[in-house]
Amino acid sequence: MKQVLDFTVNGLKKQVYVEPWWTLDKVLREELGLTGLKVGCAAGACGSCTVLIDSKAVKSCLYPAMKARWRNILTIEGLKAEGGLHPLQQAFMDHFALQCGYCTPAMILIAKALLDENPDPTEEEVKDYLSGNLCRCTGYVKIVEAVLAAKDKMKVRR
Amino acid sequence: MAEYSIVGKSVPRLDGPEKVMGKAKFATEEGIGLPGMLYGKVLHSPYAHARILSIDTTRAERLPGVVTVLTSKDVPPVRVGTYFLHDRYLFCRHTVRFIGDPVAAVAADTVDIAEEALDLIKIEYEELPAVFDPEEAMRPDCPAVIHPGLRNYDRPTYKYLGDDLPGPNVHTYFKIRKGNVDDGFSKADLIVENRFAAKRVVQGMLEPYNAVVSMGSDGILTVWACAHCMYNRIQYIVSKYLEMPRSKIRVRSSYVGGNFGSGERASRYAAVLAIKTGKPVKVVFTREEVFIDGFNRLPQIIYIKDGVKNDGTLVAREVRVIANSGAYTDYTPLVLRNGMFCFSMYRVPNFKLDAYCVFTNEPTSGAMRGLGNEQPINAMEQQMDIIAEKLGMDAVEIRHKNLIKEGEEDIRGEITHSIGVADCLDKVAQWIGWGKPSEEPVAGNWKTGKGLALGNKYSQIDTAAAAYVKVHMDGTVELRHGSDEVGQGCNTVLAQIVAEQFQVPMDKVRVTWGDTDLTAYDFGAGSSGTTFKTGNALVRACEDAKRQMFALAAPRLGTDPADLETRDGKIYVRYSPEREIPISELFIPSTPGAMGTLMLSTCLPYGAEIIGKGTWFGKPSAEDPATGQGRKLTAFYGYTAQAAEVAVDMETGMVKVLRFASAFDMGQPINPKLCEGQMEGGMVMGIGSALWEQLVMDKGRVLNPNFLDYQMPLMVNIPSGNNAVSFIAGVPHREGPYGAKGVGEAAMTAATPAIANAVYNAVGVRIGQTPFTPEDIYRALQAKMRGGKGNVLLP
Repeated sequence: MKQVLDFTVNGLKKQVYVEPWWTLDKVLREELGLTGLKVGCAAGACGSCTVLIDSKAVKSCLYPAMKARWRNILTIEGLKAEGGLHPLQQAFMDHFALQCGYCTPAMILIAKALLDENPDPTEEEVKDYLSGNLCRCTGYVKIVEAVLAAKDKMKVRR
Repeated sequence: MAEYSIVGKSVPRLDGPEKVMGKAKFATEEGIGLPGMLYGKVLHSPYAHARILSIDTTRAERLPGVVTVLTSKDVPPVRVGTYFLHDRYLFCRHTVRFIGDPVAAVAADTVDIAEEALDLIKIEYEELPAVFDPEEAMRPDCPAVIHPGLRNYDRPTYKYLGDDLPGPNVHTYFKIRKGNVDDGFSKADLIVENRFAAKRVVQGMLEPYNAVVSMGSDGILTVWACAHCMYNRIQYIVSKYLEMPRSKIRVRSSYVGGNFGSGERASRYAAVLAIKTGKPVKVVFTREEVFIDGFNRLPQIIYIKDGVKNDGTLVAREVRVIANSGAYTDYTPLVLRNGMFCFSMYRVPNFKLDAYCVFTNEPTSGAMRGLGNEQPINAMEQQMDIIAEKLGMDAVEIRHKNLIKEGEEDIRGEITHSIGVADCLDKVAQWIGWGKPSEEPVAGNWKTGKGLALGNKYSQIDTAAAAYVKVHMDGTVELRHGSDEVGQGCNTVLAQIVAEQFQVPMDKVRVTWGDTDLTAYDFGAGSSGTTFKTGNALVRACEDAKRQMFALAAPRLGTDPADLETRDGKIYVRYSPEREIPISELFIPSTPGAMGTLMLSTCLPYGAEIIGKGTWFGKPSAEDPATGQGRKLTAFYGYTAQAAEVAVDMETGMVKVLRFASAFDMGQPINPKLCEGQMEGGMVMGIGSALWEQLVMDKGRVLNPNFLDYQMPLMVNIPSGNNAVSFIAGVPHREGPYGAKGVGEAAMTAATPAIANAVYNAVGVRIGQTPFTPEDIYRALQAKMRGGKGNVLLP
């Protein structure tokens, strides 16, 4: 029996009918067409499905959709800054911090969660916070670089 | 190195904006919301080796929502494989050969129903003797014979690899002979002999195998897949299994979520289900399926025996390799043969190699970044350090002494060209502070050490690529290529080549790819070869397009086409550049009195459109199957040197990589930042397979088929910032586009022995088998403390 899920996604109120066993990734990708989040393992191990729920990074493939009721979801499609790209998005491009791009939306979102929580992380803190997200292409070096560069830009803006 | 306008510049990735905004489409996005689409699931064997006695699908078929259930009786009885050996049915017919071998598939309205239906398929098996150890499987009297019909299987290419097979489970035997090793060893002052081994690891690309296939009303089968090699690994295989002509199979792909050689396995099942049901079918492998029923890295056992003079000169090397291909071959005949090309790194006058690839009842091995070279390079490069120490020589010095040089003939008779590895070696040695003690202060029981190693990776020559270039009427140049954008950035690199050819900015270049209906044949993104082979094809396509343009422009400029050049969307006369016309004007009819729709035409007076075509075709020389000798056997070699500084915990055997340097000779780098990305990715994948990654096997069963138990490197595990560096040390290649070679694979080849050598220099123990687990290192440390040699741990 499908149930009603009321929640806010990228600033818009949404109402979706979902099966109680569905996970959030399925609802966002298949019901709402928000395909920026990717499913790499469906077991919470790769992090490619990361979205922000009330500003906290969550692996949506493990998250029961109905648990998202009345919550605020941010996916990569909703990430914006004044004048276009978010500084993290710009930094990922400028620093070549992406290759295949499968993990990229998730990496950017978890980096945002970090910077929202701690605006001035050290290199070690960045690596520690982002370690639940796998990237097989870049070797992470340029991702760390990009997050630190975005942090500097965002500090200037504040 | 030559200066170019756009080649050699780190222009931003073309796919950057799409990818950071989450708009980039992957195959997994195909089919979402497509009405009537079915979901396919594959049933895998629970036994490592068994006869199928009966299959009953009736209960599965009755489940509401199930549309079809297919087994071997529903598909043509054809064995397919890669173009080396056709050994695998789509669904097992009589025998299952590994835990995970596909026996049936279901198409249903939802994934959940399809999965439920799998549980309702009843299969009776009778277990057969199984074999998992390749050395046991190789014996002529091995009780388990995995492919009794092997001698009759089709071998489309490299037929000689199937000659002189010493046992019923050996499917490939490759030899190299040069000089006389017995003579060589008799002249040696020191002989060093060791055994090394490499465990099974996986490519670990994040996008699981997936495909959506639909049969059009026009009889054209469209295959959307996370393609790696659209033509070779998808169109070829689907056409063989379904006995359909290749011209009726349109393969489409877009961005691919990493690949690293893993190919693709979902499309063949989606295709057969789509044809049987007449509906679009989507198949997405679970991560567990990708681990078990993918094509992971070929495990190898390597025996290496070296003879050297007291001054460190190598005089003889003898190598014997036994590789475990698992239940089927996939690309392993090529992996085995071509993996041995790494030995061309050093000048060895007397060389002998025998390499065998053996079937076992383990999951199928195949191609993975490095294609079999990484494993013997670990043996070769640990061996170089072992020899150096025995002779009291420096590890850098012994390498310089034996490195092959430009113009010298290598162990396979090829003349070496474009080799920058000596420079790479010096660069990493200097950065890591070779010869100076570790600077890192280390607390507790940690000890530090430095190590370095060299790596190389040839690129295949027996391959081809073709490409198109279309000049649009606004002067935009569109390139169409058939390789794969798997993240390496080939779209950007190929666009740079075209921009350079037409002297236009990057925003005047458009890339069309991922569609066999629109692009020309390309072997695909393999063998570190897209820049070289597709790039060469594109240079020729650009020249062809320019020839057509200049022929149209010459009469208008009152000169000969040979005097024309192009820049910024204009064609001009070389010796008087003020005489120019914009490309767009070529499209304006010059017929006096042109009127009506003719004025709107974008058609050219002749040639219809400006479409340049170009092909790069490898031209290998003959190869003597008895000796492996030939004059031209590779397209080029990429070279690397890598150096690591590690800390080893004396109490637990744990290793941390503190600092890491890579230097790479990729010829002329087309986009240096993209090259760095390959080097950093290679470093980390290399660290992973050196220290943590392995499929843990128990009698053919994979015990860790998921990202939690299979330990890929995490961000916390790797050196970054000031502790990681990548040097570009390219030596242009005379046949490369702008002198470019390739970079993807060799980037991980030296990491493993560099770390092994660093561990040895830190704590005095050496592990022969990858990964170097804490347990292995701890046991070696204990053995050493008890007065044992604690050197190469025989695995």
